Amino acid sequence: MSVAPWEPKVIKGHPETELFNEAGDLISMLTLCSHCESLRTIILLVGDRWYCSSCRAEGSSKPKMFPIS
Amino acid sequence: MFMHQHHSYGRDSDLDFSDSLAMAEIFPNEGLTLIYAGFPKGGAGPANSWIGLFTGYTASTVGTSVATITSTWAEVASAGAYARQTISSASWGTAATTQSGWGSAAAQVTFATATAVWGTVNGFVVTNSLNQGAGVVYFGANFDDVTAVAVNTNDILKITPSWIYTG
Repeated sequence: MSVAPWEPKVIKGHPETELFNEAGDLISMLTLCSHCESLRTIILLVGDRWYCSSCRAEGSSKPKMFPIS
Repeated sequence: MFMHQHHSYGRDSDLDFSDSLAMAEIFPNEGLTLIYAGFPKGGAGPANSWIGLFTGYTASTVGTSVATITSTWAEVASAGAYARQTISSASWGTAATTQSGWGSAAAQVTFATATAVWGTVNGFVVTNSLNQGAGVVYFGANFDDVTAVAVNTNDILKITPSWIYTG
């Protein structure tokens, strides 16, 4: 019986970048901020998306706007 | 140069956190001792290190060269599912030029979901011990966006261990 190769857990469509070692081998995928696509030392999960501090704050404080007829 | 669905990037710029101008980082004396042990003394480095979060200092300042984990770093308390995470030496990427020095990053580490308030976190430390509040601090740094993070119940955070040597 063959064993399925290990695959990292990823969120489909989420921005990532590669991390290589000196030999050029892929070590890991690094998750980027879902909004600004920057690599930050800290990101936080909101729903199924990772956000940097700045983008997370912007998202949580966005004003709720309603159309006025 | 590699192409991505949303953007293009090259290796040298992938790990460059130096657009953040105000973050602080330090190898305290404990960390410098380890570096000296490797060169010129020829010692082997540790197979693993452990990353923790500190609440001491500010979002743009870190400890001095004599700071220790039991003094002023003020690590997050061992409660609410907080625990240090392991960084394998093999998970560090190749060093590359950044805007402010010679830098490297390791594979990201994800902390367990906070089951209580962890407090306001100002950065991370890389240590030689799995145990909260114990061991030697090799390195400490603020987050590169120079922003304190209030970690509340149910928060999940991911850290990219990284540092830069300057000549």
